[in-house]
Amino acid sequence: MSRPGGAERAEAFRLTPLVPDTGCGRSRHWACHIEGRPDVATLAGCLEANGLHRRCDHPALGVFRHSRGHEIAWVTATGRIQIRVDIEVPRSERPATAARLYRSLAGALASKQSARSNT
Amino acid sequence: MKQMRSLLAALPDDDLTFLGSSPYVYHCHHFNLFHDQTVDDALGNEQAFAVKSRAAHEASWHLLADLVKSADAVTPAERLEIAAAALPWMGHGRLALLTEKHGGTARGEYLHYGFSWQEKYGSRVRRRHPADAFAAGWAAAATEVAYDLPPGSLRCREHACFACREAACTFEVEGGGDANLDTYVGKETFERFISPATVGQNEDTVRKIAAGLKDFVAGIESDERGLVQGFGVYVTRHLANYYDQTAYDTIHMIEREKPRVTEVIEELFGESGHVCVFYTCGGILASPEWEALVGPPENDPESIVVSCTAIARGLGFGHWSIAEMVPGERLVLQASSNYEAPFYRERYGKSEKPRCYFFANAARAFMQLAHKVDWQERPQLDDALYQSLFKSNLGWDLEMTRCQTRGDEVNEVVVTRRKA
Repeated sequence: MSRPGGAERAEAFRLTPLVPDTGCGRSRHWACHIEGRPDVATLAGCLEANGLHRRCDHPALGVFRHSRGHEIAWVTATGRIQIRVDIEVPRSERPATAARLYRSLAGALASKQSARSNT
Repeated sequence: MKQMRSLLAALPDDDLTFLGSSPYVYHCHHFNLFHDQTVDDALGNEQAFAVKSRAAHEASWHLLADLVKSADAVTPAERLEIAAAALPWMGHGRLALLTEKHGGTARGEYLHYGFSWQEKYGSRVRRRHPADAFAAGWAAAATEVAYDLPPGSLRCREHACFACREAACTFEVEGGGDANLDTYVGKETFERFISPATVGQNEDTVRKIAAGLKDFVAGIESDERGLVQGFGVYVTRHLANYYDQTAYDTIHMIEREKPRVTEVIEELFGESGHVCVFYTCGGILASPEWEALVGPPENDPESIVVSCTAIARGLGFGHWSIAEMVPGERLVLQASSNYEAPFYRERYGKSEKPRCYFFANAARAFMQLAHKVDWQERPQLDDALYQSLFKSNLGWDLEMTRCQTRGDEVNEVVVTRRKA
């Protein structure tokens, strides 16, 4: 999200805490929100830098796929994020895997902002 | 896969989809496992595997024949390669076909039934019989088509299965098959047995949502394992004739051999409608994709029934429409086309009783999801909620008032609130 006349604040893209999300997969779906609504290019850049590629090109939706099968779905209008852990990850390891994906997304967003703030 | 995409066809006004002339629909692994389990429960594991693999063989043969024809594939190697590439596109996993003219072996990885059974039940139940009858039927049909063998001359058995905790699924293809390819239910059959599309309540909304869903699901690709994930749910692009033949052959056998349990088996095939609506419709409604395309689901019964009707059309179940909806009281759902009735009429003739089990029970499940689920709370669509909604708290009766299997113009089910 660009703001005329000034750098974006670091907290503008903050993620809400990660919680279990609705869905039919056992511990596969996890939810958070992005506060601040980054533009598509910003979020896509963050995720691609973390090894995900966009597999859905709908303007209202981004679905990004990790090389290990995980997915991150993002509703652009509401900021809803769903982290989907790949089905091959053992059930007991799914919460930790989701947390790792969440941390890497949060870190990527923070570093993106930090870079922008310094320009 | 280019060859599969080139075969995509539809009767768009009737919300039916085809691969070549073979009808196909989207169903998730919860439904697929429940459906196959019902055949197992009715017939026993050995006979059930034979019924399922035969149905898979018959359904797959025509698709594979259409595929090699459209690709102008001449050699057995080309044809086997096409068959091996088609299965992952359908979300069924990977199957390496190591067959020659008189049979051979096949080896599967991530095969839909075995793999998803292990995910859903593997930590709680030890399975001792193979799960991949569909892949077995596919392997037999693919070998016949590859080598121009008489249709139905081969059969296939699964010797090892991932669902039984074995490393991979292995199959043996051999002579002695009993598939019957004489009668085929394809696009032309559907055109003979369906009726002009009905116009229901909220038609514009249903049509608009369904169109968006069709566009969206058409763009979904399988991953490198041959799994298809859409709306956060693992789905198959499955041959509708497989579901129909397994269900109706099973019920007819039970009617002949164990008539006293016919009603129980019919109820179980009907329950597959509950399973589909709960997991597939529920999963779609709760997904980010739905929120982006349509908006978050609201706690409004009419809106949920409209959404579920649109989802049914979007997944290729046919032209379902809402004839009447009184929130809290009653739903009359019609289908001028579905994937059950044309198959029944062509294969077995007119029925004396209604037989669209899936359609009828899906309508009841629409009402349960519409009235008993708090969508704004983002419910976990897990087994506990399923049991609570559909085993101990099912507050709706249904009556199949019209059915095309019986010769009626449309299929119609009336769902009413169960009196205390």
